[in-house]
Amino acid sequence: MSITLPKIKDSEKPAVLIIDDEVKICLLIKTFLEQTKLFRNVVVAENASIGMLKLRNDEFDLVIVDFQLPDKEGTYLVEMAKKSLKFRKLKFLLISGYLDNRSMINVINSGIKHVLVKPFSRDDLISKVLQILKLG
Amino acid sequence: MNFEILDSLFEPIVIVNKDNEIVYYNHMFSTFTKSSPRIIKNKKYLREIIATSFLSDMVELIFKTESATISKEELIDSLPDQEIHVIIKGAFLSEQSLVMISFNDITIEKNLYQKYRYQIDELKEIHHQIVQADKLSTIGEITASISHEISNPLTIASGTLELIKALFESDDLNSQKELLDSCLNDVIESFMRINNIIKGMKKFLHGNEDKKEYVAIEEIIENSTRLVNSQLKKSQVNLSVKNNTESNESIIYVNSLKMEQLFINLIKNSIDSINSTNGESDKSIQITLNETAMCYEILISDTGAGIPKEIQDKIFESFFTTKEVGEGTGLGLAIATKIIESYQGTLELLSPIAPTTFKITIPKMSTLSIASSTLNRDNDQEMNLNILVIDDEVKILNLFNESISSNNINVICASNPTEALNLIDDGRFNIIFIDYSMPEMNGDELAKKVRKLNYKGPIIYLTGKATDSKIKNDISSGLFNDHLLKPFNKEDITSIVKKWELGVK
Repeated sequence: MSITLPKIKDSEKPAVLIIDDEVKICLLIKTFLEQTKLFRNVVVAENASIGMLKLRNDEFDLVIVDFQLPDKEGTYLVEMAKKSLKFRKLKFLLISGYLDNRSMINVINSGIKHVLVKPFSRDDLISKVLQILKLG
Repeated sequence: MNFEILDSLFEPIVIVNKDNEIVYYNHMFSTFTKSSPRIIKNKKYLREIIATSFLSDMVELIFKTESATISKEELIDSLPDQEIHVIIKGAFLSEQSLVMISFNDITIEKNLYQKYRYQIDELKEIHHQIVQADKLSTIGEITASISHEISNPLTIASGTLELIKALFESDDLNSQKELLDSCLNDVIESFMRINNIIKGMKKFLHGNEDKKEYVAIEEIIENSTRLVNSQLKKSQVNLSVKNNTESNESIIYVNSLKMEQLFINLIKNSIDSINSTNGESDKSIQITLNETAMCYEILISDTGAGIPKEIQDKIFESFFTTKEVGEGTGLGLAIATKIIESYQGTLELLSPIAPTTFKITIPKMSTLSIASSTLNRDNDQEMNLNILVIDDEVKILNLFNESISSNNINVICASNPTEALNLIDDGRFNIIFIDYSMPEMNGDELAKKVRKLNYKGPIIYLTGKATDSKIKNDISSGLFNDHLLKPFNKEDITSIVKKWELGVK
C-alpha cells in the first residue's frame, strides 16, 4: 500500500454510504474502504430512494454517490440532503464515468465539491476519501 | 416473295443466303451502313459491309438451327466513323431458305441510359455519404453515455484486479481460492461487457451495408435497444417491448445494420421528445410487434411532447430538425424512410399526440422474396431455377441464400409451413427443401400437403439423422426424393442442387 493510513480512535471512525446501481462497484468500494479498517460502518444502496432511506435511518459522514442512478440523478439526492439540517455536516463524493458540459453545470450548482472519475484505482479512492474527511 | 415491300419500312433490313451473300437490302440499310447502293452493289457478302464476327456467327447459327428468331444486343464498330449500338434480330425464312436480318439502332437510348446511370451512381454515392454522416453524428451523440457505460465495467475490472493483487500479498492463498475465483470471473465478465459495447459500436459504423440476410425482428430490436440503453437509463425512460406475433422469431430479409439504424433513430427521437417535456410524469417508450397476413407491423410510441401540427408534414424531409444547431443532422427520419422503402416497407406517423406513435410496416419474408425475385428476373432464355427452402432456423436460410443465390437461381425462403404452402400454389418451384423437424408440422406432413398441391418436382429433407428407417421408407415411396444431412456446408448445397436441378428422372 502506497498511502500511509492515519491512526484514528474507534469513537471517531467515520461511516460511509455508497450509492451506485452497479452492485459490484458498491461492493468493490466497500471492500477497499473496509480493508483500511478506518471506518465505523460502510453501507451500500443501489438507488437514490433506498439511499435516502438509509441516510435517514443512520448517521453518516460521507456519501459516495454515482451520477447516473436508475431513479434520480445523484445531484438530486445531494440537493435534497442539503435542505435538511440533519445533513449539514454530511460530505459528498460524486463518482461518474463521463460528465458532459451540461451535467457538469448541474453538479456545480448542486454544491458538490468532490468528483472522482471512473475508472479509479484503490489509491485514488482512499486518498480522495481521506482528503474529504480531513483525516491523515 | 416480293421483298420490295421492305423498302417502305423505316428499319434497316438485309436478307442473306447461306453463303453470306446479300440477296436483298432496303433503303434504310444503305443509310444505316452509310454505304450507297453503288458500293453495296460491288460487294457480294454481308461481312464485307459489316465486318463484325458476331453477325456472321449469328447468320450461321440461324441456318444451322433453322430457328425462328434470335435477338441480340451488340456494338457495331466496324462501320466508318461511327459506333452503333444495335439490337439485331435474325429470322429464318424457311420457304426461300434465307435469313432476314433487321437492325434496331439504340445508340441514343444507350447513351442516355449510360448518362443517367452515371448520374444515379453519383446520387447513390452522395446518399451513402449522407447516411454515413448521420451515423457518425448518432455515435457522437451517444458517445457520452457509451463512455459511461464502459467506465463502469472498467472500474470493476481494475478494482477487482487490485483486490486480486492484495490477495496474492496475503500469506494464506489457498483459503482465499473461492474469493479469487469469483474475482477473476468478475474481471472476465467486465471485459466481455466492454468488448460487446465496442463491437456493437464498430458494427454500427462499419458493417457491410449491402448484404441482406434473414434476421429476426426481435433480434434487431434487441440489438438497437442495447446501443441506446445507456441513454434510456440517463433519461430514466422505461422501454418495453411487446410481441403479439405467434412465433418468437419474426424473420425478415433485410440488412440488419440498416434496420438497427432505423430503430435507433426512432428511439433516439422518442428519448429527445420525452426529455423536452421536462415533466416528472410517466416516461416510457413502448415497442409493439404485430403481424398481418402479409406484413409485420412495428409500433413505436412514446409519452413525449408529440409533434405540432405545423411540422407534421415536414418531419420526413431531409435536413428538417427541431433540435438546436449542432445537435441533430435533421436526417434521421429521412434516412429511416429511405431504409424502410428499400425493403418495400413504409414508415408512417400514426398519432402525433401522446402517445406519439410511429408505425413501421415491413412485408413478411415470403412476400418480399417473391417481389425481389420477380424484379430480378433475367430476360434471357436461360434456365431459371426457383428453389424453395422451408426452415425455421435463420442460419440455414442464410446459408442457402449465400451459397446458391445467383442470376438464374432464385432462392425463396419460408420460415413456417403455412407460409410455404401459400407459396407453392403457383407451381413454379424446381426444388423444395424441407426441414424435417419444425414446431408446427413435421417434415413428412408438410411433404404430403405439398404433394397434394400437385407438386411433382424433387423434395429434399434437411435432417439431423441419416439412418432413420422412416426416411428411407419415405424416399422409396416417393414422398420425397433425397435428404441433406445437417450440418452441411456450401459445397453440399451446390452439389445437391446440381443433382436435382433437372427435376425427377
